Amino acid sequence: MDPLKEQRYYRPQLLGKWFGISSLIFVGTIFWIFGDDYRREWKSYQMEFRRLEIEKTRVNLSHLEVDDKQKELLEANLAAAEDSLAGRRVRIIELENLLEKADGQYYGANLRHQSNTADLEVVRYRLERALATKKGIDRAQLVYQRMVDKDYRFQAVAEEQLVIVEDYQQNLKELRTDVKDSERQLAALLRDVAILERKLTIIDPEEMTFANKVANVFRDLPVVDFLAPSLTINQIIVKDIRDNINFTTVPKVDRCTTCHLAIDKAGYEDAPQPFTTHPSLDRYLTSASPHPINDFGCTGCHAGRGRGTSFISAGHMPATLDQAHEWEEDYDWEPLEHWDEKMYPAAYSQAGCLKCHHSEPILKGAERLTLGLTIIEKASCFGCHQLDRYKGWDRRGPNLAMVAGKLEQDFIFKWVREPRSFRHNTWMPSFFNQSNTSDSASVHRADTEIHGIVHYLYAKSSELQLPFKLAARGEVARGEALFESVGCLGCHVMEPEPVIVEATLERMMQRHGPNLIGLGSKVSADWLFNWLKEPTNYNPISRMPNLRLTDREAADITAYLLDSRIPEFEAMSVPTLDEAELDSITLGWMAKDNTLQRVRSIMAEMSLDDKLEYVGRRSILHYGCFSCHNLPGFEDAKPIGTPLTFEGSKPVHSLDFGSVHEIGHTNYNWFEAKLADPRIFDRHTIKPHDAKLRMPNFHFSEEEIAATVTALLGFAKADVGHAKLASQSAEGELIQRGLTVIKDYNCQGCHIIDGTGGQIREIIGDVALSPPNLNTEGARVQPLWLFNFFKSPSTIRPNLKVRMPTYDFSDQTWNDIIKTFQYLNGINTAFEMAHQVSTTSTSYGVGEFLASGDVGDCGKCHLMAGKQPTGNRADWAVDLALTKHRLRPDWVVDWLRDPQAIMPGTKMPQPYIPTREDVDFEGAEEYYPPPVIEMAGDSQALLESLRDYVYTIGQ
Amino acid sequence: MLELIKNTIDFLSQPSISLTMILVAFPFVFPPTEKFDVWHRKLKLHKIWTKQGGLIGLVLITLYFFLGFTDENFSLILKKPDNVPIIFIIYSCLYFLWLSMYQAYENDKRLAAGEPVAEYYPAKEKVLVWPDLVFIEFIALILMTVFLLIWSIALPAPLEQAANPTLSPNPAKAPWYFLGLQEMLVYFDPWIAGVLFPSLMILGLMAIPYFDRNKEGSGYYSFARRRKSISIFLYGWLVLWIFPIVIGTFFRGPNWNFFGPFEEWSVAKVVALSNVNLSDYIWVKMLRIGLPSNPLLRESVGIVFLLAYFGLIPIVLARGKLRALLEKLGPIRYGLIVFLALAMMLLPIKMYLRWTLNLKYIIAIPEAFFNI
Repeated sequence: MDPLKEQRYYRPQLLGKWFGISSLIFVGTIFWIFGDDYRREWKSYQMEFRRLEIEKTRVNLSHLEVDDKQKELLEANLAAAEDSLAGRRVRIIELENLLEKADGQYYGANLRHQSNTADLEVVRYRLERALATKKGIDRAQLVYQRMVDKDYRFQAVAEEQLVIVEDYQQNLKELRTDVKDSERQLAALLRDVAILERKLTIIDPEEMTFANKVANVFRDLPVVDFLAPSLTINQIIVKDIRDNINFTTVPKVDRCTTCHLAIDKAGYEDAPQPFTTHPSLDRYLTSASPHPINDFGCTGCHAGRGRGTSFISAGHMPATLDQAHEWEEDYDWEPLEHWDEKMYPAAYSQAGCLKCHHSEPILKGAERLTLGLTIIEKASCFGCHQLDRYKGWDRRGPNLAMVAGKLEQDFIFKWVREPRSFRHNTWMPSFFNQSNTSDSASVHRADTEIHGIVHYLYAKSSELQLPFKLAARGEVARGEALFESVGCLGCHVMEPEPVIVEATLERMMQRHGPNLIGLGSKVSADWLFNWLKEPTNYNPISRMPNLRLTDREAADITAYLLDSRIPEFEAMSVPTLDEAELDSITLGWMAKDNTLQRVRSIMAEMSLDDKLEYVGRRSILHYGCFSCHNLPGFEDAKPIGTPLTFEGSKPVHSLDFGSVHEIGHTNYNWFEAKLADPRIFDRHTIKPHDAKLRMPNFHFSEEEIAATVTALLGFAKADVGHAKLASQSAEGELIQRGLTVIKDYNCQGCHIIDGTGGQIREIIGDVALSPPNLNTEGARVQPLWLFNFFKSPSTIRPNLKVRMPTYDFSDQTWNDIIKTFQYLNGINTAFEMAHQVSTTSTSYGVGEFLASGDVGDCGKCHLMAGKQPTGNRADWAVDLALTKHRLRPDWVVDWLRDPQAIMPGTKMPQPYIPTREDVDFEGAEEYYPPPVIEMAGDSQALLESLRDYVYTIGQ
Repeated sequence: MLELIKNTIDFLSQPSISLTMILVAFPFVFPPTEKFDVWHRKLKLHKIWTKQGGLIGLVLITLYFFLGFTDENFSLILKKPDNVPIIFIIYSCLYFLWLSMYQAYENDKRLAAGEPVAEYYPAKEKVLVWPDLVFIEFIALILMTVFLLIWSIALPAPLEQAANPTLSPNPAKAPWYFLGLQEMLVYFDPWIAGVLFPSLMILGLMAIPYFDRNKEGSGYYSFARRRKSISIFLYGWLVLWIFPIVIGTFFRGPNWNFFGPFEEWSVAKVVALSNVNLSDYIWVKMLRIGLPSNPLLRESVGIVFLLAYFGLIPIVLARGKLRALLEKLGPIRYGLIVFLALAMMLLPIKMYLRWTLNLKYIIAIPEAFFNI
């Protein structure tokens, strides 16, 4: 045997085979790495989009129509021009030769001049040195002067040559003019086609040159694709919307457009995702919109992981579990792990608006968000939950400091137990008998607690003075007519039965105040009469205004409202107090901060009333009644809910899902479930009563929940540069402050302000009899007049039955509102000169003619300084004598020009303004005064004249 | 049925029960003395270290993991990319343990029959380096590289958001190789579990060549000739190091609570925490008087206990069972070995005291941040 072979553990050939196989596997793995690195989700999207783009461009190209006749004509022109050019060929060649020679001469001369100039600079420097050192000045001066002279000479020579060159060039150009012009005309005709064709030669392999075809394949190959790939990641860097990375912030980087390739391009509305165009290009992404894509990016609004370039890593989130399953099938979707700020589902994308628009009470175009904010304001979420946005807002519920003067104890008991047993659509939420307190022990406990609450309210209630005496009973029918006409329906409804109401801002404004059913089962005639006469008497911070009702009117409305009763509610009985339960509740609360022994000794000395009051106080504290109601003894109580200022940024794991597994594990799914059933996360838990969830049930509809969740998600931490904030100027902030008061007091229930509101028109029917449209109020009225009108409203339109109420606002608030009106219309003058018109002026005369009975006949409808109109009483309109103190002269001209444009539906006709043609006939002087003939056709001057005349009425 | 099996496994996996089972079974599987060896053979446990035994073990563990994959909760743990190395560790650790024990038992048989050990024949203290060893090492290197590359493609590291120091994940787990130390933190203060014990481990391992001067079994595998040393080492390696890593990986969930492999990781799981110090036991529960204000007096029992543990036990043993060892190694080596062995025992002792007596600290001087 071979001694070498003997000393082997393995056969070399076998080892070689193993080595070969493992090396091959290794090489294969290396290629796998390249392949794995190269194969990215977004590349396939980009390739698909390219196909789509080619298809679209081809279709667009085939749809482009070119006027064939025109094209033929222009082509013929071009051919003719080229023909005639051929005739001038000899001359052109001659000129071109001459030009070439002249060019050479000029080049030489210019070169000499330039090098001399360089020398001149050197000599100038020497002279400067000589002057500074005071040495050899004379000589340096001499040399310098010589060089300057030389430079002028060279320059002159060069310029002479240049003139010759330009002359030849001009001649040549003239010879070619016709051809150039024809070419230009043809190109202009085919411009659109040329653009699309050029685009196709870039993107469509079929239209490419051979070199481009090769490049098209080559540039995207692995490894070489770093040079100039056509498949690239697109990114937008947004400097002043920043991402927080804990110790610092970095600009947002959004790569969404890597796949959403047509998001800012019109024409892809029907393309499949991710190529669909953004649904609202006039508001977003385009450079003409207020949110250009390069300034706002995508995740600034939509949230998510902007750097992600795959469906999962971008943080896409489904709105529902169904959508989640759909995505799992289509995209192998799973929630992005290890990333808190995921994208808002499409249904909640308006949440992002709040980042920059944080002071607007109404966000146009973000209807769902606006509705959500309105619900939060209406439901007074900020009463229990600290929300910086609503810092300093008043308690929203009725004042209970004098409740004994308003309500019976039994009413309070039944109402607190279940407000909906009295009013089916009340905003007072249900606290008792909820999903975690519906067992019999909890219900029993609740009854006892409510006894305590009622007792506390009555015991602490101060005496109510009723200054107005209801002398005679009113009439129901008259009261109903008044109720429907005087303006109550601006804020209240009368809906005895539940109706399905669309959840919109408008419907909420219509239900700003309570649904006024069943008052006969609730309050006394004396109380209601006094409330109508002066609401602030009972509730100093009530938002109910004073309608300046006479005693008779108030009595009629009282009679009408008390006529409505709810027998089922009256028939409900109040359970008797269980003293043993009361003791056990008292003991339970007291033992929280005392030993049982001490509690027993304290309780032994407490009377039944004491215990009731104690349990009442603890229950009010527990349920947070004071968050919405003014309650004696709770003036300084702290909010009981979890703060919501940054709720949208709360990480999901801080939300307790308890044993609720059937919903998605996201913050919005949690909010949805919580709002639908506030106690749901107590399911399958065993807790003492005071540890149970206690958020009351507002019985929100699905749309209301979606809106509220949108707002909650919007309450998030955001790092947005000052330039991005929507109301960054003092003016902007003031407008939002004013609009907030306007929304809070529901001015838009009656008036259209800033394009929103005016629902009462639906009930009144006739626009002319409805409260005025205030879209142009700032430009329309004089600020001083408006201030006085607010302080003491007076009749302006004689036919209006609906009344402007009196609000008890501070001067500051009124000023805010007036300035808001002004700023909304671009006016910012607080003081204005009175518009003075002389009755002897020409313009007065012209205006008087235009307003006269034969022409404009203003006096047919308008009162004239108290003088009654000649027309139908139903059409009577504002006394024109008010104008000079009330309206702003510029606005009056605009108004006269086109009343319908300012107030659609107004009865005011467009006044007759003679045109040039109207007066251009023989004997026009008989019909028109000479100044009118002279001014005819100048509508501005004529309207100003009419305006000037109106300003003198009643002078 | 399956549910019952899962519940049983969940129950048995609790550290108190599983550690007890391991500790009880340990001397029968790795008999440190001849007496145990008799039982070892009676119970046929030596069959584990045969080829059939190894195969059965492999099949059983694999079956267990397959059962795990069918379970919603266990599969979540198994599929977590961070835990993949732990599954490898279980397989590789057990494989090499089996391999060495198999070879040791084969040699033991040969030695008993008076034959030379297996290592004696081919090697004769010579290894063929070129090309045999180098070649197969190179092939192994290539295949290992391939394996790591494929692993990194198949289970790519996730890109997470910037770490937020105010929001740590729950449970916050150390890298897998430190999970044993993290598990010790449940029972000891950081300065012991994180500083003292690791230092002792390193020093102890470094000191082995100086303690162990037994030439028997040098250069070949044998269990019968080194029963005590091997079982002490395996106790430290398997029970004190690998076992806590497995516990920390698979069985520690939110709030570092224990969860059985088939149990849902619920954040809401509550475990009663009513641990008290030894001093509370002595002064409050037994003597029914308040705690003395002087910390040294207060903790005197614990201090005495620990001093006795490390001071008296070596002396008592030196006079009794370990007299031979003392005579063989001399007092310094003997002292150090016994000290290290006692330190190794301190971990399970403390664990048992916690589970049975709810003992928090043997010595608790929070005034000086000194708790044992």
